Amino acid sequence: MNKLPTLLIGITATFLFSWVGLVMIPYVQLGKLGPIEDESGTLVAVGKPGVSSGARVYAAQGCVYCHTQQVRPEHGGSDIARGWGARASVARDYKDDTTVFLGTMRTGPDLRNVGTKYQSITGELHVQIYNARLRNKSSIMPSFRFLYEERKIVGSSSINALKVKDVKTGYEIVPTKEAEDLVAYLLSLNQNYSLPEAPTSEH
Amino acid sequence: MNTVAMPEQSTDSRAELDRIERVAIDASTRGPVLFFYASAILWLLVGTILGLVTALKFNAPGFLDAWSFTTFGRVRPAHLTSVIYGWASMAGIGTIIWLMARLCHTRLKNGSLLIIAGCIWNLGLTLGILGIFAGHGTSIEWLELPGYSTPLLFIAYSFIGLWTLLMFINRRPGHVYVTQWYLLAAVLWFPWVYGTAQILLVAHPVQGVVQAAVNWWFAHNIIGLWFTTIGVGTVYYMIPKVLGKPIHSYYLSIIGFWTLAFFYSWNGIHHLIYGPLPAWLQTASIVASVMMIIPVTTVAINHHLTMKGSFGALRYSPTLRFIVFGAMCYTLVSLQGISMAFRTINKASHFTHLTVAHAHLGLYAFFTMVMFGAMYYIVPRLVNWEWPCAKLIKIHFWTTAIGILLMFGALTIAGIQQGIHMNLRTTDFNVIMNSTKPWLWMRSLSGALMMVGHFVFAASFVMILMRLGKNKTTPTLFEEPTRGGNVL
Amino acid sequence: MTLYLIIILVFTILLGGSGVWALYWAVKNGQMTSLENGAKSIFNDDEPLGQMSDCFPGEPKRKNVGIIKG
Repeated sequence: MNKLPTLLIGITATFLFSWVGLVMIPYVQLGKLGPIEDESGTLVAVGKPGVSSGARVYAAQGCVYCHTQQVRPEHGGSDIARGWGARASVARDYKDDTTVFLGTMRTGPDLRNVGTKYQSITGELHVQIYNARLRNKSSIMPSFRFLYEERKIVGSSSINALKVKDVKTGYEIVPTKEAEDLVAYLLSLNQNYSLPEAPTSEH
Repeated sequence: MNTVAMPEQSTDSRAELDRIERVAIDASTRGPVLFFYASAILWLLVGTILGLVTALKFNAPGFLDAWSFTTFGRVRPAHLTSVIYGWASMAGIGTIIWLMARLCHTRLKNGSLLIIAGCIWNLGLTLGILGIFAGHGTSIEWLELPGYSTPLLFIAYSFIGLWTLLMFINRRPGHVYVTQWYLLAAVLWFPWVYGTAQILLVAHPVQGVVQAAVNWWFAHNIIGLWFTTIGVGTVYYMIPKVLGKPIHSYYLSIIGFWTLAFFYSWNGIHHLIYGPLPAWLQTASIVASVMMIIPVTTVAINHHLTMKGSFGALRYSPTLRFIVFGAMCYTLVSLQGISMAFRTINKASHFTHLTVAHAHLGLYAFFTMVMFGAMYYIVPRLVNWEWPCAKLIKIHFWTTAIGILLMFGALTIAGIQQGIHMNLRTTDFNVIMNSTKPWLWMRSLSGALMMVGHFVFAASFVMILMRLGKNKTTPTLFEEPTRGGNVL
Repeated sequence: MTLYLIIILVFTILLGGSGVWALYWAVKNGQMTSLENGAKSIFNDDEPLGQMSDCFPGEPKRKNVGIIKG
């Protein structure tokens, strides 16, 4: 224990051991996942272009610190029973995510399928981000109104205007590009396709 | 208990030579260690304020939410980064420098270069944290610094690593003490871990969930191979040194070190149980987490049996109070962590305040308290002056000790409630959230208490640097023992 | 899949083996004897066994309370 060589070998060896196991092997096993085809020949789990700028907004606001994006299997928690997803999330679901926001804290609900939830009510999603407490008084989600602009109505109000009360007369709240990107990203979050390793319960 | 009988004169002259050497070694580390400590304490204050702001946002979500740079998602990583890479790492580095010099019996040469390294580290951190406020944070946990600040940290660190290695290579021949193994390992593992993560997650990100695997291999290794090693190594020195009593079983400490090295780095994936990663990976980490019982219990036994019969000394030594508190919390947090690695428990505890409780028990109740203890021992020996006021030390100890235990308690209760209802049942999400609110208020209160302790400590630090204190001709720490003194 | 398993196996044998070899070398080289001296190496005549080296400001350094007898 008094010789530098022993210590160096031991320090290097033990460390390399875990590096091989936890970094190298997963990389080899999972690092190059591609899309797969179903019976009809259509590709499933294809990449989602155009949402990476929204993902950057997601990262810049630190959404991952309150929201997860992983649905656990039935035996691993009540995620599915809560309606956060029809099936568990698997590795292939994340292959096209530039940054994987699995998350570790659920101050707020899991968002892996939030796209499905708000697909037909995009305006509501904007209001949720603008100020969640307008939709739910006891929410502790902070307001992101700095992603929105309060501007004077010119002519008729914009179709993008948020449907909120208590706006100054003659003014409207519209999303900035950042908010639009963020919502586009969130709407892309869904697992509405099945994969052989994770069939949905209809099968 | 008398040692070998020697003629009086010879022992005295040997003692005098030893003292001269000890003082010279300490003096050679003065500049760099005090610089790193001062920086660390500044970051502690910054980080604590940021932590309090973050906590208050849970209680009042409208608090400071009008601007992008104070949104929760930026203040939280700013808090984390300043306490981890500002306070904890710089306190750790200062301690490494002093301990290595002492244990290697080498004088630190050209310490001014290490001060420059410290300045570069501070610059990198400041740039990075301002970047996080601006929205450039990576959102990768424990690696939130934007890519542009990392090169500065690396430049700074290369000096620190090299100097530590050089001190070790030039050590006085003889025994290599257990602390030296821990610190040497820490110094070598840190850049390797951080560098790998920086390349595979930021510079050239790997695809998909491999990111998650790398992320948690990295984050857990920062805890286990950087902070735990520094903390445990420091305790292994401080307890016997303060008591004047050798470590109970040196043999056990060897076992503890190697089993830590072997098993700790496999733990990482226990942060991803039931996640979209292969089951074998999760199982490997769970097994490794359970095997951690070996190093954790060897360390606990060793420290306890060394302290046994001497717990009375806690009344007389500020260092010992913080160190022993920290060492006990190391055992506790490790056992808590091991329990949360089991799938059955993890199913309920994952994604809850329990994880936050665990993080604070580890980084604060263990590591930070050990660093406080180390600073209370080391700073007087660098400045050749005593801490100015015993009362301030006691206030520091009690506010932080009670504060962290309150915080841990509040978050544990909140976490258990959250876990059962959110993860095992389908209780309405709003109901769950509302039930955690009173405990989150208690968390903020406990944080405020700890903040008081930190400002008191910072005041003591400034005062000792300025050589303030009660009117005495010489500090009693450096005198022969006399009568007197009060307790608590 | 088998390729990965082979890689894992080879690395495990190499790394685990180096650990075993290092331990064997350490024992053979006498690293594991005289461990007591290791524990005592942080004390000397200036800061000897039996003497506490820390105290609150304004208080005396005490002899160790409860040091092992004999």
